[in-house]
Amino acid sequence: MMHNRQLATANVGVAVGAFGVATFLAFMQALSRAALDLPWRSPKMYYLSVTGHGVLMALVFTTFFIMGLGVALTTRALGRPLRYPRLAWLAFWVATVGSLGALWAIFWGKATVLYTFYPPLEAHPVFYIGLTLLVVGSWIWSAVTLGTYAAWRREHPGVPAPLAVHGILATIIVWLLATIGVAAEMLFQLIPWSLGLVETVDPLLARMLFWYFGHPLVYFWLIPAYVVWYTVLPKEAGGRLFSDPLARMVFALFIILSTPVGFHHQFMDPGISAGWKMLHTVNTAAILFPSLVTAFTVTASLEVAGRMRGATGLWDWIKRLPWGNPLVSSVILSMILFALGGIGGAVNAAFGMNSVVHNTAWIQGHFHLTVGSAVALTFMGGAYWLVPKLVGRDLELDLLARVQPFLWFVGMLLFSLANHVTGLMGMPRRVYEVGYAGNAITSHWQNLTLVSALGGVLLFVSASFFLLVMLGTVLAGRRREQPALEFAEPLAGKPERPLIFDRIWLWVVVAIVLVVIAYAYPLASHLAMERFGSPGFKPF
Amino acid sequence: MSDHKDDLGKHPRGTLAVVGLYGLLFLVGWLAVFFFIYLPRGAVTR
Repeated sequence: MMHNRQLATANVGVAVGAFGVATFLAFMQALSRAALDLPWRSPKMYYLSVTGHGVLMALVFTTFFIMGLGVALTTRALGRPLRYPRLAWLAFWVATVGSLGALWAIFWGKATVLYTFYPPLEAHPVFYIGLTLLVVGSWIWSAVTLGTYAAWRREHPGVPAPLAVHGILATIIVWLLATIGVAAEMLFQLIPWSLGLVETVDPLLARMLFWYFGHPLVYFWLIPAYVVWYTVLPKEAGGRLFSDPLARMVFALFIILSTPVGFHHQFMDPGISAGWKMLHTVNTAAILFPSLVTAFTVTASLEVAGRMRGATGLWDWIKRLPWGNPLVSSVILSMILFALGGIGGAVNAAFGMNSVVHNTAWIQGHFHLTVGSAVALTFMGGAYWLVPKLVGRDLELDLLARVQPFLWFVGMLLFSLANHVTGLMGMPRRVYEVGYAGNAITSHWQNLTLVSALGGVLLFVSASFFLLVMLGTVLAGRRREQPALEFAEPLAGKPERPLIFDRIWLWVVVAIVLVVIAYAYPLASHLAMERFGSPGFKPF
Repeated sequence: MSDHKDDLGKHPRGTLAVVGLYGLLFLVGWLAVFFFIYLPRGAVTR
């Protein structure tokens, strides 16, 4: 098991390092968008920074943290080491080398293509190959986890998988299904094109393949966060999980609903008919359901915790929760921010209303409430819980750890709400100069960019606290035996027999059928059309 | 702690209140964007 702890530590370590670099870039961007004159501020630096921030946060930080968390939770919950430890280390190194390659291309100014890398913006081949290796590393990790689960399953027939493992399996299945899209985009389009083997690229096909991957990517981030919410939070809050079957149902629903939704990112794209966009809109509305069930079940688990601490009345349980526990406060605050993000998400996903917010600052306001809060803040809280157990040291700088989630909450509210409002006023996203040379319309949103920048400063301070706590814990935390990873007990006891939601392979088949229904015809229609490729563009 | 244990299996009243309030906020927020921003601006296809 020691070997597994080292592997989990290495993965979480890379995640925290990536988070640190990305945080610094975010700080520069927030000030730059407010037109504050920074040294070296230039369009090239801005787009380099946005690309670095997006890739580091959305792809590197999340993937490595999920792999580390997955190793720790799976081995503990199954009570057995990883089946193929050498392959698991290979996964880590392949993903690390790939990430370093992509970052080399970004920081040497050879890949200012943003984290969505839409062609015809063109990057250096090392950028695409590096990201591909990151995904290949995650596939190897997935195979190792599935192999470990299969070995456990053979020894425990007829027993439901531990809930944490059920959630990690759902994460892996969603990821394996989703990455088919980005693998196809990389291998058949972007890598040959960037190497000069073909002259042109089809941007619309690339966007279809990217968003086939891009929206379930959100659930690849979110499901492990939900695993923490369901299996760790109730225990840390001093309570029980309100309902184990509801949690299993949520993970099964994510398996089937995560992928056939990508066109809601392409409402403004030509070449996809309105009917298919409408089908993806309906699927997107459906996938709100498991998140709403999660909001109910996790809140009810917190209420149980409050009542076990003696709370009475309608609201008293909220006050009784251990707000000084950084995992508990991180997750609760991340849930509140996510709930606000859900309202905006329902606007994004509405076919007509999307036109109001498309490509505006509203979008960055939205996804900083979802991935930037529900996921990132949960992972930070998870790190406060997990890292001391992995390295066998006490959490250091405890006060900073307790303050940090609240600073993140306030900073994110300022940053995100200001961006929502400026988005509705028409301010575009991903634009270096939002003043448009003093145009009168832009004067209305200038003050709000300062509010957003203030939020960015608070987020930077909060992130710095997190990094200090992590460094302090690893380097100077008091060495002593740490309590083992423990999971919340369900209020009604663990299920003794597998439920319908435990029949993972049934849900995989349903998911594949839904993907075929949602994508086969539009993709075939697109490939049957006369298509005109585009040469690449490198603006910097 | 055990004084209140019997309540644990009952309906989580506080949670239902929180979820109800959120549902209301969700509806109001979405409808506000629909009626006060989207409809006055008009659909892009018009």
